[in-house]
Amino acid sequence: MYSTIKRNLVSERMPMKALPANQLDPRVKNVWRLNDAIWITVVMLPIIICFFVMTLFPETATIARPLLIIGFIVWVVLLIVWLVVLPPIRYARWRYEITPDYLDIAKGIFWRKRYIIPFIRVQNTDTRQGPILRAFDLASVTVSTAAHEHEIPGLDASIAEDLRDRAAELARIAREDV
Amino acid sequence: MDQQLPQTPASPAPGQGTPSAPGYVTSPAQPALGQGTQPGLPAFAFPTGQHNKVHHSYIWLSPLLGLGAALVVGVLTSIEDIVKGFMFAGDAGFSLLLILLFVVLALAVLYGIFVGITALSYKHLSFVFDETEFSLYSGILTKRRVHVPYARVQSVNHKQSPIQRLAGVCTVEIDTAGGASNKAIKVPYVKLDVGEAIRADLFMRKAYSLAAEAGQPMPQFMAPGQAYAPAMAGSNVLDEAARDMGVGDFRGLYGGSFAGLEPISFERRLSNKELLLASISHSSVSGMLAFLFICIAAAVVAMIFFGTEILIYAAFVIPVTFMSLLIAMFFTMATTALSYGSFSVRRRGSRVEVERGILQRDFSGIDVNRIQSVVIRQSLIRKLMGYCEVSLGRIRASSGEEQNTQANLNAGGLVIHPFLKLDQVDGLLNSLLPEYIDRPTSTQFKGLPVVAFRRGILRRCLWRNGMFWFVLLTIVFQIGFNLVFSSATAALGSEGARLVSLLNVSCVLIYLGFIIQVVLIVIGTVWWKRGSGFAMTEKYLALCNDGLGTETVYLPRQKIQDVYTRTNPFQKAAGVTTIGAVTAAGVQGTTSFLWDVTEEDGAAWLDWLKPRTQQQAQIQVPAQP
Repeated sequence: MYSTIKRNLVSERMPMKALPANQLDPRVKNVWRLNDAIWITVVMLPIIICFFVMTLFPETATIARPLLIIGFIVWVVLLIVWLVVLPPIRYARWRYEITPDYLDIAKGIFWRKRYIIPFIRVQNTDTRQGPILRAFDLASVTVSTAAHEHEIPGLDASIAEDLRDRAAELARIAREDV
Repeated sequence: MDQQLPQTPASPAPGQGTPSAPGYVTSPAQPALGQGTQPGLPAFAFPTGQHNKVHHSYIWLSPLLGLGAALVVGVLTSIEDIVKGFMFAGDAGFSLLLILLFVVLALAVLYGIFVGITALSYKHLSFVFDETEFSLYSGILTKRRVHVPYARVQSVNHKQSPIQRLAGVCTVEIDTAGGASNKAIKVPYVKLDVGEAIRADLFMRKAYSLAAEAGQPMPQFMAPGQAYAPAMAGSNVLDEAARDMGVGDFRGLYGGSFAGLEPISFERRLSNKELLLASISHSSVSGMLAFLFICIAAAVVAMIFFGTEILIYAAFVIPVTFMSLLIAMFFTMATTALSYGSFSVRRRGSRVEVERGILQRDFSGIDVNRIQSVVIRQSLIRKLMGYCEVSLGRIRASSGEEQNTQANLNAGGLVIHPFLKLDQVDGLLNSLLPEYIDRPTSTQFKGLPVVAFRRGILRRCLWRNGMFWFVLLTIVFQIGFNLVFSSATAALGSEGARLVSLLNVSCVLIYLGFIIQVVLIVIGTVWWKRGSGFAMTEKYLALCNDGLGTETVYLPRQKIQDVYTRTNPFQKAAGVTTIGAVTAAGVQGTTSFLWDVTEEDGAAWLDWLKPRTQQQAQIQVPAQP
């Protein structure tokens, strides 16, 4: 434990490398909250309803009542973790930077990942906007290479379009550099 | 035999280097493509716009496969009736005759139906060389037209199954730029020389269409047959057998009318020794050992349960087990030998071509610019012998029928040598791929930090070892079981005691297996720590993952899609990180990674891929160890 803390302090002072400069739009935290709340509810609600119906019948009521309470507690805990605890951490960790040449992404709460994607390898750049993102006037940008797809969720719609256009332009004019 | 090429060019004897056939050399004045008569173009084997049929063996040969399947299914489903028929028929001979007659009749009817269907589909199956693209028309009810612009043709491969060999036909596969959404186009059942002609035409038309697009003068082509006299150095017994059998009749290997567009600059074959050792080492030793261990464990359990009398049966079981092991080994050896028989890898112009197989014949080509990676792989047995397998990573198109392409992504690589002595790898790569001559040398690799060894042992033995978690579960289960039964044994008597002892022995066997596995893992980790590393030079990344098997990957800079580092909390505490690089090889892309390099190396790894257009002067090549 001690070594972990010490190491963290050291790396605070001498960062491995400056993190990418840009953060996502702060509104994306609300997008995540809404999204996760919907998912958690979709999963938990049928279970809770099921237990609730069981409490109405005297034969199963004694088993179902504690289960109903446990279900409620699990639901609330999940909501607290995903709506209160995780979004600020995830937001703080999610960083990206667009240089003229490459896209730099850092993310992850426990498993910290860092990607470098040169624009000359980018095949297409799309913006996507689901109903939730649209409600917040945000858009996500996906950058696909020949192998994988990288998504930057929740950028301001105008920034997203700017990024998409710039990547497309760079991909068009880029020549092999070595 | 009766299928003729639309225009059969003069085909000189193989290897004699006779002068060019007239139609193939173009005049200097070149009009652009798509101007009607195209006077300057060479005489293509297939006139533009003409619908070409595949060979008629498509009608009568391809149903045989379906017929075989139907026969197997039929026998399996009606086996009871057949047996009954034999058992209860009064006049055995007569009923046997009846059954045979019935089977033959049914097969004939089925074959007729199949032939009818394929005849219909044959009628609608044709391929066309248009001005700018190649099209394949197919479909009886739903008409389909798959087309590929010439400029996007990447490779034209041939495959010949044993059944196709009967009629001397092959299937031509046209690969495009690749990616999961692009399907390979297959032209089934064409004569070998027609397949050659399709390939030659496609590449010539591609060259013309590219030249026309760029506004350059039309390229000149060499006449067929002019190409080269095959150097038979390093050939093996199976090569000669293949030549005698008339197997090697794809382009230029033993001569052929369509020798290709450019001369061969390098060719390598397997020697007798290489072929034999490749076959032997291919049989999966670890699988055999695991099988043996399970057999022994089962024997021990049986002995506990039934007492030592069971040892009498060992006289039968042991020979049978060894026999089946031997047969399995021989079978894998034979299939490997057949699939690598008459293996040949060559360099033709900007392309690498591989041809192999005695029964199933495969031809694959790849443009050097399309190579995603060079992979040098050693299994444990190859490592002990000092040999390795060299393959090229390539982008695969998903073909609709073959769902198992995901399962064997490694097999998607193009093997350019199945069994090469380690010190000959540089020689082969330098001759076959001179473009890769400045790849990192072994002295340029940078190793892992000391802490990686401790972390490696813990990770491989415990955290990421499924067996470890299984053993933990077993321990809990065993303790619980013993606790419960120690109170109940009295009631159950000797039966219960035997059950408990059987359970305990099984658990001990599991622990034994775990200990053996851990020993192997520790050895592997020692090797991993010693031999693994990465290298970054101006144009290449290289990753080496050593261990019980070794895999070294060379990635050219242009083919790396992105690089990444991943750090979990424990790695962060130890100051290390996992580095990885992603290429487009395979169907869904391939990730090569190395655990636990230092954070500084991870940062340099990320920096390396940043485009150097503005900062050419600041390239940082890592310090040599």
